[in-house]
Amino acid sequence: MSKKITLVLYIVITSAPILAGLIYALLYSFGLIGILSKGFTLRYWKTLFSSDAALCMGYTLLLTMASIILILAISLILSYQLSKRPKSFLHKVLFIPLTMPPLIMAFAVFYWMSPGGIISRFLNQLGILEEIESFPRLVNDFWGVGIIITHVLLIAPLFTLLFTNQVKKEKLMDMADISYTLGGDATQFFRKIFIPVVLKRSKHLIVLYTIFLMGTYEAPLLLGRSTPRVLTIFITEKLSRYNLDDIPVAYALTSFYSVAIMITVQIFLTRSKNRSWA
Amino acid sequence: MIKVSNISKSYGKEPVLKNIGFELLEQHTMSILGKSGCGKTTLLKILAGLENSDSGSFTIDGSDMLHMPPQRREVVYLSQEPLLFPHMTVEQNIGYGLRIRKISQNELVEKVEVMLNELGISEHRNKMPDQLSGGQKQRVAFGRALVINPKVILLDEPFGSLDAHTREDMQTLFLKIAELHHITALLVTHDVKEALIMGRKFARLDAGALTVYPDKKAFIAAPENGIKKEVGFWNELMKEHEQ
Amino acid sequence: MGIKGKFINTTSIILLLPIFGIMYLSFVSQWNYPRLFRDVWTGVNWVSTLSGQNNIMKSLGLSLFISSFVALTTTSTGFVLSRQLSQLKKANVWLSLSYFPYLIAPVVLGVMLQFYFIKFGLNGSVVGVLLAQMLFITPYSTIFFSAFWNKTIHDTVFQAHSLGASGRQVYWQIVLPLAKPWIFIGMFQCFLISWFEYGITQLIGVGKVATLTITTMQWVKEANPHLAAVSACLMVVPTLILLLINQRIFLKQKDLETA
Repeated sequence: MSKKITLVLYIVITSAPILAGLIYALLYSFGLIGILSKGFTLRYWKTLFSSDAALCMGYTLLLTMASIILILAISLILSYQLSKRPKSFLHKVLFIPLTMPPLIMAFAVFYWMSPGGIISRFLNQLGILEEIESFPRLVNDFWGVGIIITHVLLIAPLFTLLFTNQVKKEKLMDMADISYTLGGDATQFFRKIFIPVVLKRSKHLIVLYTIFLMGTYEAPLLLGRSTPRVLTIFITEKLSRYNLDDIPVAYALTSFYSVAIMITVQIFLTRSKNRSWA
Repeated sequence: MIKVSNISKSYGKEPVLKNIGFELLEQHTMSILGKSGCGKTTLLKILAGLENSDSGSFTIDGSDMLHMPPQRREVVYLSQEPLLFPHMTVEQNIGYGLRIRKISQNELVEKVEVMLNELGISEHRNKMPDQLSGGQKQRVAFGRALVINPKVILLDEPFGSLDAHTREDMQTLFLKIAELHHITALLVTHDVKEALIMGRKFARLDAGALTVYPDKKAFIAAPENGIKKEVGFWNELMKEHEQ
Repeated sequence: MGIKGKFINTTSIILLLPIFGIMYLSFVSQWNYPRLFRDVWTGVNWVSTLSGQNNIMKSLGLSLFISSFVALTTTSTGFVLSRQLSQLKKANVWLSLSYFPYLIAPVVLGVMLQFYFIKFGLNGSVVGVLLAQMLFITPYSTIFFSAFWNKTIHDTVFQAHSLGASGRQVYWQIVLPLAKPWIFIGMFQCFLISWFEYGITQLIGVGKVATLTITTMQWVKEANPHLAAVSACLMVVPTLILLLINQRIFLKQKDLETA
């Protein structure tokens, strides 16, 4: 196969669909196509930054940040403990959540944590919980507790495994010895060496998964509320509503999100110079 | 004065160290000759507090060290690999032990400056470890250890990964600095020549047992160290060529 | 055991809860609050599923077909494309094109492309779902294999050529054997991404292409957590078995992502 043909084929596979999709979404969002099309307008883009669309973007950002911070905190602590005990049982168990699709994880979280779920029943049987109503709202709640827990369960084990590999590769536990003999205690080592080194070496991974979390769909679908809702749910709901005026808004948000992702990816790819993420 | 007596250690049924004992005066360096697997790393790690011994005692100027956590011993362990902290510059690496002690910023800057100059690496102060050569890395590792003015430095094949030329440079540098800073050091090496250059006192670790020689002469004379055999080889060669 | 040991053990237990939860749910019925252990156990969910009284087994078959097909095509395309790309001057620039389709949420990708799928009559069809999944899994596969084509591989190929091997011989006798573990892992990863997919499958398949994720969700919506759990078990158990066979499969990808 000649190089030119491959390159054309490659662009057709990777870029053409995205470009075509983006053009369609942009045209729709500017009122140039679609059932209600009455010529160019900025009306839908304006609503994007005022109405519930803005709330949705803020909420998505907050939920993503909360998830990623919690994931990082847990994975850092776990990988540190695990590096000190390489033969622990946890090492084997960490692989198990990797076999679960997000949808199934969200489903499991729902049936563990909803008021009628397993934990609530347990507490009831133990006599701690009198009635179902007094169980706290942990799923479909305002703060997205269920969603965040699902994210943590899905990603923290993976991060822990990768961080532990990183620790081995960087010989961090040997550096811990150096740090001890130089006068540092375990906490100082963890704060001044372990955390900065692991985070620095894993920054691409963290960016990658932050982007993934921005586009999370299954967990909020099962565990979220109708307001506030995350970006993906907002878009799909607006598109399937009867109010035809909502469709261009959905496309405006779609365009905005896609372009934002493209810019982020481009920035990080150029920053990391010739090092690919893969 | 460093005093070590009757230190033993086994992994399971496998004895690694058998009744190790020696004394070392302040500001002296003792070279311990040993092949890999003779237990030398274990011995140094026990002295640094990174491993526990099964029995024995270790005192510096009469105070017990074995029951003190490593971070309070002021006994620094340096391995063959420099193991610099990869996210810190040369300067920050050297200053690490001082920052942990929370000494004033002025004093810290001053001490690091002196160290950088003595080690001849001032122009690399802002470099990251991955921008340094093997010899430069090892210098930084030395600086990082020396700057806190430890009671003892334990050197575990410190020049083992360097090429022959850099190795000689480092040996000279170490001797100079050891004298300057009145350093007490324990050096383990598999290289007889290095042991002779660096040491003032000599010992040999073989299968977990330590032999301490009364003086340099005894160390050279001992057949197990192979010095005479080596000299014999070169003499023989010279003779052949002269004929 | 110290606090730290307890911390590790507690974490291990928490990580096992989700899978225990779905297994438990698949073996109970008459699950009125607050029943938990008494008078709830039953095998009926599994019996009805395995005997084909509901749509789950059919979905399993469909999922297996879709994911295997996608894995095979995307792995081979990705392998070939990444090789060609690696020989280009600005390989990394070209490769960066692959990140967009792979990183944009599949469901949003579906939203952007739905119009075209409808236009070409692919909406609601298996072919449509296959195509939609391949649109973002092929770029993933290309990124995955681009890490394989490093300098060592190219040097080895060059070495073989200089020893007189033909292009074909090099491919079959040098490249493929070296790539074997990569192909195996890459194929498994692609299979999993497809096997786990819900958003774009729902959108392009409009619920008509009932893969296991779609069916699980249908049972959840019908408030039948027990059949949903059976369906979920059928998704997780095969991956779990593969995991037991080879844990490396999972970590390999992660290595690649951190590299």
